This record gives sequence, C-alpha cells and structure tokens, in this order.
Amino acid sequence: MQIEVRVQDLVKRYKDLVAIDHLDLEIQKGEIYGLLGPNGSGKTTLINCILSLLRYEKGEVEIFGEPMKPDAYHLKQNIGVVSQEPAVYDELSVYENIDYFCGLYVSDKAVRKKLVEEVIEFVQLGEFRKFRPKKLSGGLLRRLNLACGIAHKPRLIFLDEPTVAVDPQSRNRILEGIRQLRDEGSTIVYTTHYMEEVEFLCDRLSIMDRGKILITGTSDEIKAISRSGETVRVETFDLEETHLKALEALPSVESLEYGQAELVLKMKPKTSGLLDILNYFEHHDIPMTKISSKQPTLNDVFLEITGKELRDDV
Amino acid sequence: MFKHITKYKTLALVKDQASLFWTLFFPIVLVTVFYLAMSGLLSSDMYQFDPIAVAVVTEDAKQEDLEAFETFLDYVGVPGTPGEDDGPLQADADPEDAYIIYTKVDPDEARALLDKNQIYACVEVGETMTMTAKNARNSSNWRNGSVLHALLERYAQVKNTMSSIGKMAMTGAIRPDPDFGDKIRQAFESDAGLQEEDRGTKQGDVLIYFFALLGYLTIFPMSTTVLSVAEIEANQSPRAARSWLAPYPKWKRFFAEILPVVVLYSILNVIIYYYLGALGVGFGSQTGYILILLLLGTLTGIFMGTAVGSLFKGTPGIKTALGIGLPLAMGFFSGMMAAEIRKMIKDSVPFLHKINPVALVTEGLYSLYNYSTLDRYFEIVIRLSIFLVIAIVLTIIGLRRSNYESL
Repeated sequence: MQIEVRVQDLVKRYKDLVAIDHLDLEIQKGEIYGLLGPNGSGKTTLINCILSLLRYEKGEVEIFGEPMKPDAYHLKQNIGVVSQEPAVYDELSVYENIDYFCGLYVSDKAVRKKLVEEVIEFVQLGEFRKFRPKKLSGGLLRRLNLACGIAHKPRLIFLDEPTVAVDPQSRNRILEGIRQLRDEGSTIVYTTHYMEEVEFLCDRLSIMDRGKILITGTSDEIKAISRSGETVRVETFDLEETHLKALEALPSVESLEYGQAELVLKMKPKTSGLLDILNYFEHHDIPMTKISSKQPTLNDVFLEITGKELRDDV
Repeated sequence: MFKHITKYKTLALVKDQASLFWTLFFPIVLVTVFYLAMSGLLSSDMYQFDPIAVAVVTEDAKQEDLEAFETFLDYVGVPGTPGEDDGPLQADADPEDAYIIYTKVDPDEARALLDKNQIYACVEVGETMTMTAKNARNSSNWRNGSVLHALLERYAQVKNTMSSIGKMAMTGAIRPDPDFGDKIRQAFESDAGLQEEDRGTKQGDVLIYFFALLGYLTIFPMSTTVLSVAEIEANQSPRAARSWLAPYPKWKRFFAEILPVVVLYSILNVIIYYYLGALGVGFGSQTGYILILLLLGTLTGIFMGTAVGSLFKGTPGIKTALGIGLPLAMGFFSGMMAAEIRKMIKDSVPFLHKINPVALVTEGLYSLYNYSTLDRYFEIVIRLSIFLVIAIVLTIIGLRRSNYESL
C-alpha cells in the first residue's frame, strides 16, 4: 500500500505546553483517514505541522514520499486544504472566489474554467454562483469553502472540521461529496470531533488526545476493543425486586439500574444481551412498552481510554 | 499567476465599496474642505508683502561692519523718511522689490520711532546684530519678524564667511583666487537663497498648508496597507493561510497583491493634484517633478504601512490606529494644521523634520515652487528614496519567515 503521508516522532511545543508529543502516523493512498479528538487535542496543530505551516521542534514529515518543507511547491501543487473557518473573499462572488483559489494552482484558463464549473456542480452552488459569501447561509458558505479548497482536484485533501455549525442538509451533501472525492482517487485526511461523521466516512481513524494518538484502526476494530457491551433499555412498570435480582444474575448482564419505569442494563462485551433480556421478559410474562439496544460507540471507547467525552460541547 | 492574483486583488479592491469610499472620497472630501477653509486666505490680500520699516543704528559699528551692512542694505532695502504727524516710515524710492524700508538714526530717535509705531523694528549694527521689535509675537507682526530675522541671519552668515576667508588669506593659510572677493560679493548681492526664502514667506504661507496636505495624502495609503500583510501572513487570517499553502512564493504574492494598491493610490494622488489645480491652487509649473515626488511619496506611504504591518505584532485595531494616526501626526509636524509647527520643528528638532516623509514631500513641493534650482528637490528625492528602500527592506524582513511558531 502506497503511503501518502508519513509522520515520524513529531514534537511540537507552545512554550511549556506539549501540543504534539512524539507522534507517528501513516496515511495510505486512497483512504479517508479520520483524526478524532476533543477540542484542544492537537488535531489542527498536527495538520498545520504536516503542511509545514507550523514550525516543530522534532520529527520528520513526508508527503508523497518526499520531505515536506514550506517551499516544497511541487508537493503543495497536489494538496488541497479546507480550513475550519471559511477562508474566502467577501468582496468576490462564489464563482470568482473559486476561480481565484483554483488559479493559484492552475494557470491554464480553459482548464480552470472547466474545473470551476465541475466543483460548483459538485457542491451544488450553481444557482448561487453570482452571490457574495455574505449572502450565503452557513451551510452554503461551508460548501463554498470546500469548493475553494478542492477545485484544483488535489491528490491529498486536508479537511479540518468542515461541517462545524452546518445544517443537516448541507452536512450530508458535504459528507457525500467527501466520499465521492475518495472514490475519484483522492486521499483525505478528515479531522472532527463528531464521531458519527467518522463512523460514516472514514476507512481508518485515529483517536487523539493531548497531542498523542491513542489508538488507530477501522471504526469496528476500535469499538471491538471496548470493555463494555451493548446497553439495553426496557420501559416497564412495577418491576418487582425479585426480577431485578434475577436479571442482574444473568451471565450476560454487567449491571442494571431501574427507575421511573425504565430499566437500563449494561451488558458484558461479546454477549447476546438483547436476546437474553427478551427471553427473560417473555418467560416471566412481564409486560413492556418499549425495548431498545445500543452498541458501544467510539465515544464509549474514548471515555474508557481517557476518562472524558469526545465532544466537550455536548 | 502574478497577473491572476493582481487581477483578483484589483477586483476585490474595486468591489469593496466601503474601503473604496474611504480610499477615494475621504481624500477628495478632505481636500475640498481644506480648500474651502483656505480659499479666503488664498484670495485675500493679507499675504501681499509690504516692505518692513526699520530704523538702523550704526553708532557703535566698526568701519568694516558698516561697509558690509550698507552693501547689504543696498540690495534688500530702500531708504525712507518718517511720515508726517508720526506716520509710518515712507520709502524715498519705489520699494517694489525691496524687503525693507530703512532710516539711519541714533539710538534715541530709533526708540522714539519704535514707540510711535512708525517702524517695525530697530537694528543695531555691530560685530553682532541686535534687533528690537515691538509686539513681535502679535500675529500680524510675526511674519515681519520672521522675514527680518531670516534676512539678518543670512547677512551674518555671508559676512562671517567673508571675514573667515579674509583672515585665512592674511595668514597665508589659503591663497584665494584673485576674483574670489568679487565672487563672494556677487553671491551676497544676488544671494539666491535669501531671495527664495523670502519670496516663499511672502507667497507660500498659505500654500504650505496645501504642500503639507499633499504630503499627508501621499503617506495616507499607510492606513490601508498596514493591514494588507494580514493577507500574506498565514498566522494572521484563514485566507492568508489558504493562500500560503498555494504553490507560489510568498514574496511574489505580496508584490502581486500590493500592485493594485500602488496603482490606485498613485492615480488618486494625481487626481487630487489636478483637482487642486482646477480649484485654483497652483503648485508651480514643474508638473513632471511634482508628479515624481507624489509617486515617490505614495510608494513610501504604501511600504511604510507594510513595514509596520509586518514587523509590529499588535492587533488589527492597534495597527489601524497606527496606520491612521502616524500619517496624521506626520502631517501635523509638517504644518498641515498650523504652518508655524513646520518652522518650529524645522528649527528646534531638525532631525525629526528630516526623517518625516510627509515633511520631505512638503519640502520637496516647497522647493519646486520657490527655488529656481533643483538642488534642494533632488536632495529631498534622494532622502525620500532612501526612506522608501528602508521601508521595503523592513517589509521583506518582516515577511521573510517561511513558517510560523503558532497560528
């Protein structure tokens, strides 16, 4: 497998604060690679170090097999970046903005015109091409921001939380677009603290905290290491104490809580928890109004590893 | 790519109507308001220069001092007689080109004439010159004092030079050219500097405000360019970070982005120059030299802004305050708000006057208007060019870093 980005023993400090702590990383060609972590975990700093925007104390960064430096223009030619904050000109229209940023990479006017039209269609901003950014909604502005970063069809794309404060419709459009970019051959590095986006998008992901990568793998691989199993919730009235004790004694049940007509059962990992509970209720003819099961999430894994939530804003 | 960046930077500049208003209309409105405020002075005859009535006391003067001073009087003044009924001193001949009307009297008579306001001042001739004037700080008398002081100072300079050369020749330290005495005398008689300085005082008192105003407007682009570095440095805006990641050197991008600003402000300052001309404010006939000076001043203002913007690590608010405040302060020290300030700074803090780019443009325009030779103009152009080079070098130093400690 061809490696598009290789980071070795990277260290970045802000005075006494270690922002990136001896970090190693490899990103493979053609994958969507997710960097998941809470705010302040070092995701954006890592991206900026990879892009040589930031100076770092120690380590090596290679892109396309070559050392990445501020003046490595032949490498920059094939990189696209979509920042967290929209980086567009308020005075220029949607079309002009995309044409301007595309023109920093593509000098041939005819080629550029084609690329700009393609990306406008890709982000579905056709009817807004003459609008200025201030006239666009938050979601449309994010799509414009995305278009400006990818119009030149880069081989490697860095997307730094591109869906923050975006409406669900625009968010879905952006996520579908990112998958399409991957399918067309681009390698994508995607940073976010939205775990559901990572689960939906990423072929592989790393969970970061305090400048370190805690774990890397596919979403399923990471969830599989969780020490907790699924969570089963049952809405039922007047559950007797004897039933609670019997349920707790089941081999698949880790722990349970009952209150306000809701029974919450934490199951042991790799057990058929939901089935056991259903069988018990049926066998004892206990009425229930609702039952649901939730598999462990990346957040649960993160919580287990670090003791804190992935999304500190929820 | 240079052309592409310049094209879109121009487009962004033109489409940014709020900034365009500030850029284009503020200077034009300022010039118009300035003109309306000054037009009364320009058209009035209060700046018509009348020769200054002076009593000359020669009682204690040595023969050589007396001879020298009489030569001086021949070239700058006409003799006069006190008017009847204690009236002012009247010229005995046509005083058209004269700076002073003088009468030679003893000290008591001089004091009497002064007390009765028949003369402006009394000058006692000796090894050192003494000038006594009444109400010299009175605003109407201030200019007479200034002119008379300039004349006497120039006289003293020339006399001292001649005296020193004479002494050195006598001791054999130098062997002067046989025609040297004549040449010095000629220089004294037709002392261009003297004539120019005083012609300036007569006609340039109002124009100096406009010279300083034009000087200020050439440096005014600093208020725009002090923030333009935010478009170049990746640590100052997300847009700059995106552009920084493009495969194009930062310094080339900087010049591509600054070019439309240079063109815009150069055109603007040329428009303002001709606009003032249309309003009737004449700056003399040397239009070509004036436009070169304005362009040089504009470039200096632009690159001073980029130098401050790239080297100073303050917030955009502080940078904007500097960009607006510095040119205003420079304009103030150049006499834009009060012509006396220019003289005061020039006399008491000459170094500040020499390094103030608004003052340099002001002095350049002044010299083109008043002086018959271009020596002073070229001296100012060279000084301003040095200033411009320093501003460009400082900008490049500020922009030289290739990556950042933090974003």
